[in-house]
Amino acid sequence: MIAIDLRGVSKTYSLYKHGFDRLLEIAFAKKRHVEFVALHTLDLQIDAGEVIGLVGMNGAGKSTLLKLLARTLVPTTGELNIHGRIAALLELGTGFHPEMTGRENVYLAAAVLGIGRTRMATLYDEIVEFSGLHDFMEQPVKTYSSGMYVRLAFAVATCVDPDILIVDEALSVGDGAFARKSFDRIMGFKKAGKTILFCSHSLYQVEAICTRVIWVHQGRVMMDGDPAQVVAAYNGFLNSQGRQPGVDLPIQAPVSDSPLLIPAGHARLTKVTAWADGKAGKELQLHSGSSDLCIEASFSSDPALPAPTLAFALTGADGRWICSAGTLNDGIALQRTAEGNGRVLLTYPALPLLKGEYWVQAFLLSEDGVHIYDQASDIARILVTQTGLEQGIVTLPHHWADVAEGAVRSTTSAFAA
Amino acid sequence: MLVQPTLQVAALWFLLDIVLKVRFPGMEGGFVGYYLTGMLPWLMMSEIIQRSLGVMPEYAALYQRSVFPLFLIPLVPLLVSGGIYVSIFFIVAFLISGWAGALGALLLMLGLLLWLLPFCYLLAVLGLFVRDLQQLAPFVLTMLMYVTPILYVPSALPQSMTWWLQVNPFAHLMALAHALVQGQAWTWWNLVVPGALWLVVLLPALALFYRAQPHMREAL
Repeated sequence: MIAIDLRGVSKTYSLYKHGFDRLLEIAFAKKRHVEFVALHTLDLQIDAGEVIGLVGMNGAGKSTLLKLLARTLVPTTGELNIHGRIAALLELGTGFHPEMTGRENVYLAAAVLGIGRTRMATLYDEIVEFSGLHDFMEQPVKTYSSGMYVRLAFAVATCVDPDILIVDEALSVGDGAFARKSFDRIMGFKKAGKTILFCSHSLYQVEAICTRVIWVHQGRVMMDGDPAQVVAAYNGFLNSQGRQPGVDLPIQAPVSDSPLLIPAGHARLTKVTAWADGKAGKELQLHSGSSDLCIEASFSSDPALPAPTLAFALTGADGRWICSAGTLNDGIALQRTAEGNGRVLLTYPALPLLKGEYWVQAFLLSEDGVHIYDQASDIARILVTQTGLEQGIVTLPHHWADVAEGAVRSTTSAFAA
Repeated sequence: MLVQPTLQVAALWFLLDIVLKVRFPGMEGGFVGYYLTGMLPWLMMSEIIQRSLGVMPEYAALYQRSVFPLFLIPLVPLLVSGGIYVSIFFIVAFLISGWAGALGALLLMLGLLLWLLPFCYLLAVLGLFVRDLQQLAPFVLTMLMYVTPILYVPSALPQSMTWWLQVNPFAHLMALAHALVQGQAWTWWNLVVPGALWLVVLLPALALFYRAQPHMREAL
C-alpha cells in the first residue's frame, strides 16, 4: 500500500529584499521577488512500512522535502497524497510555545495532532515518563535546555502512534540514555511496520536503519534505492568534493582513565589505547607488512542493557575511511563483569597498509549496531613506512605466475594472508 | 493579565478624579463612570490591535513546525483580550448603571469585537511582513487615545476641531459606548461611519490574509 504519493511536486522559495516587497506582491500580484528552486519537480512513491533515509549536503533540499511531506509547506506545483496520521519532528521540536508550560504544550500539540482530551489524559503520563521531565512539566518550555525540549517533542510526536514518522536531524540530540531510548522507539516503529522518513548526516546510521535511501542534491533526486549502493555513491561524491564522509558524528570528550558513573541506559568508552611493536602512544611508527597494530578498548555500560558492541576504524589523514572492524559483524560476543565493564583487544597482524598517515577511531555501539553510545576520535596517529616502491594505501594478498610459453613455471606468493 | 489594565485604570482615575479633581459641566460626580465607560473599551481595542501586529511571529512555531490552520491565529488576541475586558466591563457597567448598563456593555463589547475582526486579519499580515509596525503601534495608539474623547467629553473640544469627531471612527465608537452604558445621546452617524469603514476593510483584509497564507509559512 502506498503511504506517500508525490506527483510532479516542486518547491520554489521567493526571496525578497524586504518584507514590505512581499506584502506589495501579495496585495497587487506584481512580481517583486527572486526565485530559488529548493526542490525540482519530483515524483515519489513511498510504500507503507518503508524506512527512508534522506542524505545530501546542507541546502540540498532534504528539509524542504520533509516539510512538504509534513504539510507545513505548500508545494509550488504538483500533488501530494498522504495516507495515515503523520507525526513530524522538524527543526528540533514541534510547535511548542515558549511561554507555555510543558504540560500545556503537550496538550496543545496533542490537540493539533487531533487527539481528544480524554485519550490525552491516559497518554500524558506515558509522555512524561518517556521524556523523563517529571519535575519540569509545570515550567515554561523557554526555561528548558535544548536537550529537554527535544526530549519532550520526541515523546509527544511518537506517543500518538503515528502511521508516518518524519524526523529531521533530531536523532542525535539528547543525552546518551535518551538517544538510546529514542532509537529503540524508532526501531519499534520500524518493527511495527510504520513508515519512517528521516534525514541525517550520519551515513552509518542511515545505512544501518533504512530500507531505502534517497540522495538529494541541489533540489534533485540523484539516486534512490538500496541503502548500501546509495550511501556508497554519496560517499564517493563527497570524496570527490574533498569532504569527509561518514565521520561527521558528534565529537565526544576525550576518553578518560578515571572511573565513570554510567547513567542508566547508557554506555561509555573508558580507555582506548593503541600500540605497535611493544610501544604504546599517541603517535606510532609502523612498518608496512611487518608491524602488528593492536588497539584495546575498555568500556563501562549499564548492566541492565544488552552487551554493547565495539568497532574500530582506520581513517586516512583526509578523514576517508580505510577499513573498519566490528565485534557485531565478526560475530564476537563481548563479555562483561557484573558491573557492566568490559575490555576488548583487536590486532591487525603484519599491517598491510602502505606508507602514509592514518588515524585510529573507536566506537561503542548498541547490541544491534544501530545506536552509537560513545566514540573516541583520533586516538592515535599511525605513521607507516615501507621499504618497497608499492603505490596506493594497501597491499592486498596476491601471487604472481609467469605464464610465458616455454618458461619454467614458478609462482611467487607475496603477503599470503 | 488582569493586573495591567486594572492598574492603568486606577492610576488615571487617581490622577484625574482625586488629584486634579476634573469635573465636567452637567456631569457632577459622574466623571468616574464616564471615564471607565470610555477607557475600558479603548484598552480592549488598543490591546487587540497591538497584539494582532505580533500574533503571527509569536505563534510561528505552531504553524511552521506543525500543521495548524492559519486563519485561527488572528482570532487569538480577539478572544483572549476580549474575554478579559468583556467580563471586567460587564461588572463595571453594572456598578455604574445597573442591569441596563451591564447589558448595554455586553452588547457594545461584542459589537466591538465583531468590528475589530477584519482589522485583526489585516494587522496580522501587516505586522508579519513589516515588523517595524509593532514598534510604532504604541505611539500611534497613545496619540489616538488623546485625540479621541475618552478622557474628556466631546463638547470640551474647541469648535474648530469638531470636524475631527466626525471623521475619527473611534470617536463614534465612544459615543456608542456612552449611549449604551450611560444612556447618553447618539446619532445614526455613530453607526454609519464605523460601519462603512468595517465594510470597506472587510473583504480586502480577508482576501489579503487568504493570499498571504502560503507566504506566512516561509516568512521567518
